[in-house]
Amino acid sequence: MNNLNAELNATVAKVRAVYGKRLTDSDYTELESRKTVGEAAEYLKKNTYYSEVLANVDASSVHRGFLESLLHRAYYDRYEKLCRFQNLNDKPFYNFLLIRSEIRELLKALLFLNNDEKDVYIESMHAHLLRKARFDMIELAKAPGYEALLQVIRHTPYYNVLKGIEPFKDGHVPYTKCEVSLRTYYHRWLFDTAEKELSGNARAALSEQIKIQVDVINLINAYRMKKFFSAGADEIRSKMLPFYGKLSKEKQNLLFETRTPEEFIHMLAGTVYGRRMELTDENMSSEQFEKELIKMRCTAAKRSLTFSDNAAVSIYSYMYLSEVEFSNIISIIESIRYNKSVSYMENLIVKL
Amino acid sequence: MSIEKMEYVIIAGLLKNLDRSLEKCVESGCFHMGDASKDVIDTSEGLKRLDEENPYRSFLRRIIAIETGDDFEFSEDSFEDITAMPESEAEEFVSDAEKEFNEATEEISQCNLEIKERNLILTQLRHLKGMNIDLGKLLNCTHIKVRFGKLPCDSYEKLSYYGDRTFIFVPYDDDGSYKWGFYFAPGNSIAETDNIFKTLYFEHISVPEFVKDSPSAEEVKITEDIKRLELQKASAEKKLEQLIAQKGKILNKIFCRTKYRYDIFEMRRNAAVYNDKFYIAGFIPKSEEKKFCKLLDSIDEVSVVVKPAEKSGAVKTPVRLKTNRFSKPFSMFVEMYGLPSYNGFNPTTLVAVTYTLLFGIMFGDLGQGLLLALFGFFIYRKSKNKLGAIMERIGISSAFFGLIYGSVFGFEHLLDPVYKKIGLKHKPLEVMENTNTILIGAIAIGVVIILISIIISIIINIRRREYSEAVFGNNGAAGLIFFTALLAGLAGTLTGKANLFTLPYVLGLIVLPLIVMFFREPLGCLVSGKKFHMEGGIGDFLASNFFEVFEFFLGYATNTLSFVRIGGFIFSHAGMMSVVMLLSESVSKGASPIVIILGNLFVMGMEGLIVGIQVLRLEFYEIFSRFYDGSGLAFEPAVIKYNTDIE
Repeated sequence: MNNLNAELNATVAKVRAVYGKRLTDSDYTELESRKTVGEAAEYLKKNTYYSEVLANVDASSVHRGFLESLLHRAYYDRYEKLCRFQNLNDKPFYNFLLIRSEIRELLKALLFLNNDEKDVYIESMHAHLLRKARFDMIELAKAPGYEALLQVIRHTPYYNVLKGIEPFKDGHVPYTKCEVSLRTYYHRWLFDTAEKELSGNARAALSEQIKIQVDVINLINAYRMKKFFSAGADEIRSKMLPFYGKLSKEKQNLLFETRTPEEFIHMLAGTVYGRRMELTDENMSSEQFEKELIKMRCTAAKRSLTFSDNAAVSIYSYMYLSEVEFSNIISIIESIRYNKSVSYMENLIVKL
Repeated sequence: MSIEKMEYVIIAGLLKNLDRSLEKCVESGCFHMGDASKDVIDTSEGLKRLDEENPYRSFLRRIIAIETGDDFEFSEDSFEDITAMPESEAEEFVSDAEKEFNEATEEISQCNLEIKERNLILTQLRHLKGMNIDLGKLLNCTHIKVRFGKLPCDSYEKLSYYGDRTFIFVPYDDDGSYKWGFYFAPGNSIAETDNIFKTLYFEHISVPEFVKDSPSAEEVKITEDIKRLELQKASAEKKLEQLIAQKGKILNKIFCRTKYRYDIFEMRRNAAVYNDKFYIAGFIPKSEEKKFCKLLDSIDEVSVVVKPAEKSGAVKTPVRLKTNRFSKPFSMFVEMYGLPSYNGFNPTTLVAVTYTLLFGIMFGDLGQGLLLALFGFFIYRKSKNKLGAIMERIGISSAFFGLIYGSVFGFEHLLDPVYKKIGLKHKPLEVMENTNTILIGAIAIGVVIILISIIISIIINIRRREYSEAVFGNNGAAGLIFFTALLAGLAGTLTGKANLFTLPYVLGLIVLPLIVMFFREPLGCLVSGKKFHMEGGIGDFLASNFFEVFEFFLGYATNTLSFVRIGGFIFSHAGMMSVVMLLSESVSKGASPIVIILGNLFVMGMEGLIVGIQVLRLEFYEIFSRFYDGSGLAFEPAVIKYNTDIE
């Protein structure tokens, strides 16, 4: 039996215990009823498991951006604590969130580089990753161009992923291509590691989670392209992650070839995902569609968290749910900041 | 004990007598006004509700708004001695009090504010202690601008990005989350530097102008200042105390008089008015009819019409539970579940008896029971908490059953000499040697309780004229026959004394009641002369009734078996106490009494609580679910609330 298959019931139990501390429906209702960002932060500090990360902060006057960075830190710390619990951090699979975070930072840096907003990137950079990332994030932020940026990541696997991508003549980077390539790298790494380090039911369970995740990303992107850019099948196909999860290549092609977003929804309703989602309205907004997909993804993650006795599967599933919670809080905080109604917030968040 | 009989009362009179009538209603202490007048308005043409601005509102608000500090609260008091005080005099008194109280409390608040501000500066100065320079000089530099504050540790890590900018950040303290320090930059680039630090979430701390020396010297100065302010605050507090002593009593009386008038005026909204006449409807307990009518008779041109509560039309009759001294505290459990409807059944006595018995059986220990009763007695004496009174009763029951089990604080043979003296060879019931008897006894208790509940349900349904439910329902006669016959048959067969399951017995007393329950809806319609409408077709009818009857059957079985827990807790109590005794034997002789005391307290606390909850569960799930609807409206007599809540 290899490392990841080892019985790590304590970690599985720990993950479930941490999951039990998640924000409840009533927490979301309370947060939505707050009038200012400070009040929402105060609620999180006094009533939820975010109290630790907010302990030394004057929640009533905290800046929205700072609050977001603290919450992200709490999310990442949770992952690290779970991995440390039974010394799992030296096993390759448990780097999955670090790799994803590095890729996100890399993509953010590319985006701001394209927009010539380097100073904005340093502001939004998650500084708690500075000492963890395998490349120098400050140098990344300083990089004046694509070539310099590639030099910063030269010793990492991302260099090989990006080196073949040529910038446009005006110096801009083909961002979408970089994004698809990096995400493809990440998911391939996930599949390969799961294949290598797991066996039996655990491997199947983790692969299923990754497959659903890939499908969700592809479906969201395809629907957006269809809805906002009326994109054709070939264009959509070129921007998809090259994996087929629970939707076969043929089914995906049929979806991409639909003429309208309504037709897309109609066809999706007949698939394995459509049956698990509430696709009652074929004219649904992109936000509604994404919310339904994420709900479905959360259900799968929760099921996996409940029934799996494997630490890798549990942590992977839990971190997805934790990420959804993080993004729920951010949505509420931003909505409060811009005086949005409670019903607006309700439409954005996915309760766990 | 039952539900108190109510009377529906309509008071009518000239509008000028409305306030006096309302005052008498309040004085009676037994007039439930609720929304009864609404029905009078709804059913009579021309009547309308009084909708006036309460003239006492603004004065009352002024009184309540007076800053009297934390040591004074408005509370109920007699105001007879100021009845003659003219309104203008009361207003003058309130104005004076308002001025003096507000001055004193304002001084206290100002001191508090300044103390808080100085404490905040002290906290900052403590972080600055590592820097031995004059803050005044530093802050007054002409070409270099300085900003004090704290920078999140994460942001501090990002500073290396700005290596080429013209600023320096000097940290002098670190609290784990923030780096406390200051940055300085040339005057011409301070705006840009401020912007950078703003994006890094630097929290700027403004240093007040009076801070001029080194941090250590300033700390001493501010500490002295805080002491001075504390003294000033203490003197203001004393002044407030004197004010309360001088004026508090009269102010409270003026408050009570105004609140009384305010509340009476608010009650006018419940009256229906037609030209110069008023009508108020409500309920009074039948037992207090004479007293109530006599009070109202004292007002001229006011008449009172008393009708049976059943003639109150659409208005819901309120419920007041009739209890005796023993069962009174148990009304808490009944109210927790919801009051019974007016024509329902008051289960308080049933709950009192069954709760006391079941708790005693499940938690039988002479010593612990008496201790529990004593504990309850003190709680009730001190706080009038009903739970205390309940503990007294169940404690005595526990002590009684402790006598039967021969258990005193876990000592199982302490009472043996007593039993021998009264002619018994040993204790009446040895728990651990009579497992089957106890378990069968527990089920027998459950059967009796379930049968009582079904009989109560039948009586209630007959009273409500719901004959189909009374006869054909699972908690009706059919259910009673089925349940009794099945149990009698099983008891006969299992004991081997008689095999009752003969064909006529099975067909007549088991199958027939089941069929009756299956067809209870059509049979009910047939008896009441209504037309039965089968929704969803015959298939749906057969399927849903099959599963319902199957559920009834399962319900009888699970409800009965649920009472096995009574026996379970008898064993658990004996088991836990034997563990305590074993532990006490395993420690030294000196520690043994401590183990016994702590063990007893632990068992009493934990098991007592669990048994209390379990018995309540049996009451609510196995008894109440058979006949109780809990939809009653509480009887709430009109009263003046001497609190500061006003709309």
